[in-house]
Amino acid sequence: MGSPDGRRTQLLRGALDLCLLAVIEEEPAYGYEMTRRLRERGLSIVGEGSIYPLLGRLERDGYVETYRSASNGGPPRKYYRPSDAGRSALAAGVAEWRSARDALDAVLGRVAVEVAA
Amino acid sequence: MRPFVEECLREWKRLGVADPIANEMAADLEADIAEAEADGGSAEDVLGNEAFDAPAFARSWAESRGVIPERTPAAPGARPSRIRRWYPVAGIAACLLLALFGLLLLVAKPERHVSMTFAAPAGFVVPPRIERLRPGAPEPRFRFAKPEFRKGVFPGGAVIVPPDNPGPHLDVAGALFLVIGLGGAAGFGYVLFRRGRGTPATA
Repeated sequence: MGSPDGRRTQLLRGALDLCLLAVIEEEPAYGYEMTRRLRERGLSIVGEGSIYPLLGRLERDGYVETYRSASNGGPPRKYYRPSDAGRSALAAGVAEWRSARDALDAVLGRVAVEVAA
Repeated sequence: MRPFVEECLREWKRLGVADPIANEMAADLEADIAEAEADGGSAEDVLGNEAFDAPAFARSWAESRGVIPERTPAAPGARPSRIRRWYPVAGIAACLLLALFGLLLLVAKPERHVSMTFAAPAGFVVPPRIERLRPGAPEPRFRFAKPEFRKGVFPGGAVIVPPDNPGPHLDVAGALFLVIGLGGAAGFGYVLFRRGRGTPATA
C-alpha cells in the first residue's frame, strides 16, 4: 500500500494540468503566479515537481497560448491562457474528474461514515 | 543570474536548445524565483523538489516544450543493442591502433640523410655535378659536407642530400597520434567501465 504522500503525488499529477488550465481560464498568468494561485487554494507543489514541464507540454500540444507582457514593476513575463483546444480539454477533463470523484466518493465516502460512527 | 538558473542555461546549451529559447526560459525562471524570494519563499516554492537537480529539471522542461527530442525511456533491465555494446570496444581498438602508429613514427624515423661519395684525383679542381636521384623526382637541394667542396676543391668526399621527407614533422605527428590514441582509448574504456557497472553514461 502506497504512502499517503505518494498517493497525494499521484492524484496531483493526474489532475495538475486541469488545475493549471482552470487557473489561467479565470485570468491569464505567468509561471509563478500560477503556483501562487494554486497555493492559495491549498495545492502546494513543494515536494512535487515544478509546473514548468507541464506548462511546456500544454504549450507544445496547443492547449495554451502565450504572450509577453509587463508584470507589476518587474520584467516582462510570459503569460499563459487556454486556447480553444485547451478550453475543450478543460471541460472534458473536469467532467471526467467529477465522474471519478463521484465514483470514489460512493465507495470511500461510505467508509468515512462508518469510521465517523 | 542565480547559480541554479546558470546551471540550467548551460544544460540547455549543451543539449542544443536554440539560444533565444534558452535565454527566454532562463529569464522566465530567474524572474519567477526572484518573485518567490521577494514573497519570503525560496526556489523550492517555484520548482518543488526539482530545485535540487538543475540538469534534470532543465532537460525535463526542454523535452516537454519540444525544443529537444524526448528520450525514449528504456525498458527496465533492457540492455543496449548488440551493435551499441560493441561501440566502446571498437573505439578502444581504433584508438590503440592510432597510438601504435604514432609510436612507430616516433621510434622508427626514416633516414634523413643520404650520403653520396664522389671520387676525383687529388687536387683536381672541378665544380661538383650532381644528378637527380631518380627520374621525375623533385630537384633536391644540396649542401657540401666539407668546406673544401665549397672552394671547388674536389679531393673526394661526401655530398649530403636531404631527402624529400621532412623528418621533424613526423616527430610532431607521431606524438600527436600517440596522445590522441591513448586519450581516446582511455575515454572509451571509461564508457565501457560505466556500462559494466550499469550506470548509463550521459552524452
